[in-house]
Amino acid sequence: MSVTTHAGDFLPLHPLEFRILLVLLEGSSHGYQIVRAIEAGEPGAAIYPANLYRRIRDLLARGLLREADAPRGEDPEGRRRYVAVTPMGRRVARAEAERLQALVRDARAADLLGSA
Amino acid sequence: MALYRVLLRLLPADFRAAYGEEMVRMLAARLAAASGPAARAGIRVRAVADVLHAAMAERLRPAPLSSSGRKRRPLAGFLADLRLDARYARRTLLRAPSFTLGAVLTLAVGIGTLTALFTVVDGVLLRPLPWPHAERLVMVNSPYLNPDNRAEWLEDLPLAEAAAAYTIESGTARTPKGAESVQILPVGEGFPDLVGARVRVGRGLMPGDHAPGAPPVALVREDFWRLWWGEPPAPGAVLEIDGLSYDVVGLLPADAGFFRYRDAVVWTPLENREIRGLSLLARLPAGTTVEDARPGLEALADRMATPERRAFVARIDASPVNAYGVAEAMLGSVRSTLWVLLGAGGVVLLLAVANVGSLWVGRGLGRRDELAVRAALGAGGGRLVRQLTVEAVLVAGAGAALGLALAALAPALLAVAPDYLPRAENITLGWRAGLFALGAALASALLFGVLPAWALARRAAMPARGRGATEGRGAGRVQGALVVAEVAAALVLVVGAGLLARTYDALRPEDPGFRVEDRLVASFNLSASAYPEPADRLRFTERLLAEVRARTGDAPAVVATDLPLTGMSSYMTVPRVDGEPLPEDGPSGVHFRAVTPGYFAFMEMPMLLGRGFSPGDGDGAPLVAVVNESAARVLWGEGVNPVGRELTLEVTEERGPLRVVGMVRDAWILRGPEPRAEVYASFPQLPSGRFHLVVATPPGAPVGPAIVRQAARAVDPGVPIRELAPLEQLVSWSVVVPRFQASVLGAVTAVALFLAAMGVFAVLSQMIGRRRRELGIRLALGATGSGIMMAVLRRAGTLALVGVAVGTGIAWGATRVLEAHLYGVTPHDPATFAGAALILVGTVLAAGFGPARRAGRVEPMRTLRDD
Repeated sequence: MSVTTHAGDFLPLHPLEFRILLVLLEGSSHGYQIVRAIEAGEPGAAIYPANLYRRIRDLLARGLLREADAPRGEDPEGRRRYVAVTPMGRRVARAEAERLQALVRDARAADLLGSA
Repeated sequence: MALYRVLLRLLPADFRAAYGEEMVRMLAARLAAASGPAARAGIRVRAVADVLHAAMAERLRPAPLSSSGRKRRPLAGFLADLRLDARYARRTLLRAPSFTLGAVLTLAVGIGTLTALFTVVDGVLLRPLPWPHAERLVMVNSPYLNPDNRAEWLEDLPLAEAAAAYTIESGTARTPKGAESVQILPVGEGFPDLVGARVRVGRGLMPGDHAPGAPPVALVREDFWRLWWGEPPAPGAVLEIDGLSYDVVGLLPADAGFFRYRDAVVWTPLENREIRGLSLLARLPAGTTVEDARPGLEALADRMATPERRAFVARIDASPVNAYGVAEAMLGSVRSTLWVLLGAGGVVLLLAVANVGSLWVGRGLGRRDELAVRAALGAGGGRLVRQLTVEAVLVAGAGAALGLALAALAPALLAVAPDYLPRAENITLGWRAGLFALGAALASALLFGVLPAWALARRAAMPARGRGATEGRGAGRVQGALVVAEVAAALVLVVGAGLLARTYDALRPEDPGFRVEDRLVASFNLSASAYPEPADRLRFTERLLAEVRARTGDAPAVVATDLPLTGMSSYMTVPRVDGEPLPEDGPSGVHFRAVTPGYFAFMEMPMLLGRGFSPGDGDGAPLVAVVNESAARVLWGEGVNPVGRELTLEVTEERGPLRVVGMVRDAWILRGPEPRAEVYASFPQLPSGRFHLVVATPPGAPVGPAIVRQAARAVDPGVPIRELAPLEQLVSWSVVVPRFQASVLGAVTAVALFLAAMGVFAVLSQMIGRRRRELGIRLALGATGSGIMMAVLRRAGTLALVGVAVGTGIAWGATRVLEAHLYGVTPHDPATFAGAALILVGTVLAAGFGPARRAGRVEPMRTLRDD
């Protein structure tokens, strides 16, 4: 099956998917690490497992993430499932960021955010 | 964590396999990092919500078709599929009419019962009380509160945002159509505002109306005025009550009222009138309760106490101040009863759901082929689940509609206890009941249809296997468990109903000690203005008795100030016995009533010593009394002959002591473990304006309410009869609460037993249907029909015994909630438990008899050929 996919096809991303991608840009990681990273970056956010893994599963299915090995020294028993971002995932995250940036620019133009 | 793992099963299997362990670990880590129990509870709740949300999203997710390029429109597609499902479900259900009808009827009984009880709980307990900020209204009374210090009380009432005094009286109003008994609510300034009463026509009560010496004015309830006068009052209209004319200044809406005084149709300033009891109504600030105000109230009461009053309060052992929230005072006594009944209704619905669920599972097995075919044709598991869910919802919806019709009979429940439930007029079948029934239906559908559907759909996705010998064993286990659960649940209800029935029985004295049958009671309350002097009241009763006798051919009739076992009894202190004050630590008083000559013979209460009252014990003759056995024992001691002794009652302190002329056998006057001490006086010597006329109405005699009414009208058309009822009906008041509880729970329990029996019958029938082949083989191999029949009954009996064992365990703990309502029986009464077990085992065996006999009559050849 030779279907060419384009990063724009995946937009817009669900906010949680975008956050997951952002965290993984820094390297492979497992579920709870992702949750902690998201919650550290956004105080008040609370991510619970079922929906987190649904999103991870969907990102994997769309080829934006791939299964990965644990970084050396972590998880010696191999119990955790690590994921990493794929090149396509990286492009989609970037496209989403640009889309959001454009939105914010328009919001600024509409004076929604004040002059700051 | 265990619950979490169970919940994870709601997620698709592949998803669970991939991430289940990770999810559990993540939740554990989160819980470990939480700072306290509250935080952990919050995490748990959110984790459950998270799983439910994800499960729903997964199950409703359109099949992953993105690669095929079909445009995804989830909602529209979902609705279109739903329409198809509904049409298909209707066809499927109509193809099996007896199954569908059975399921709908069963659910209708369950939902109807629960909804009926819900309308009662909702109308009485849940709907807000009709007064503004009712939850902050507090009623205060105190023996130290009187009209003279009322202003001080109101001034110093702790915490109160607003407060007003009120009392309740009754009187006789003159209407264009005759005299009418009315309740009057004399109120202090601000009371109408406190209870949110808005005048509809005319004006409200003004400060000037409360001023000393102001002319009497009244607010009259619109419904009362319209009933008797027809049109709105003209300016200057006057209402005469007990000889006093009130200017009608305004009309109150028909729903204006307070507390239980639903019949208070006249509101008037309480100043400038003689007030007996007085209460205060206060509104507390938001966020405070009556308990916050209590210390201040006690201090206030203490400050208001006078030495004489203090001594009196100590003597009768009264509390210095009473304060209740209005809701608590109105509803506190029925709250736990109603919740218990609602719980019983919930058990009934669960039984119905178990029955339908059992049918559903049995039927689902028969549909395995159909489901397998649909699965093979490409229906996803989710789609099949939805199909089965839609069927369940349709059945439950029909059950709810029919159940609502059944619930419309709810008000009939109240007939067993008129006047017992406060706010009974709120019990209506409205949209709230409709929503409740709908919710019950959806919850039921989820339980009996959706959970089994999940299991079926999962199995359907597997290739259909050939018919094996073990076919249906899983279903048999599930159904067996359901029977056990049903028996257990029904047993809990039977035990509860049994305990309440025994309470009712214990409270209803077998022999109350007086004659209850064939006695008609007419109650009067002569107004002080028309009958100011004791002699006037006496003359009225004498003429009344004469009129009654003249019209009935000398039917026996008496007059008494209080009647036994009607819930009312005057308690009076006894200042002196034989000239000496009663000892400090002894009893302070007795129950008192004044009766006319012939009362004891009329009531069939035997005299044990001395004599009863005679016509000679009239006004002017020496004061005499008759005591009962208990009074003699309490006042003079065991075995002492009271005849010839003297006692002084609170009401005769100025007139000197009464000499005891006789002792009568004890009779029950109030419900309770034993008769109370009673002193009777001669009515002509202590006549009262408030009394009951009791007339003998032997069967066949032409004595009825109409004659009593005529007699009363002949004496004075201006005197209304407050109440006219057979003594039997009035006496039942004293057992009305246990009777209500026992009969309503009894009715609910009967429904539960019926459902349990139906469940057993259906399960055994299905089981035998499934095992026809096996039974046929057995019979062909020489088993006897009766042997097979016994085996089936044994199976039923085993299930019943397991159910009884489980149910006994549950009931042992559950009857604690009834403890406060029980009397004369312990919550763990062995006889009741044993009786309930017998009833259940008997019910199950009876229900199993038919199917067992059929099993014994299976014809081997036919069964084998059919296969």
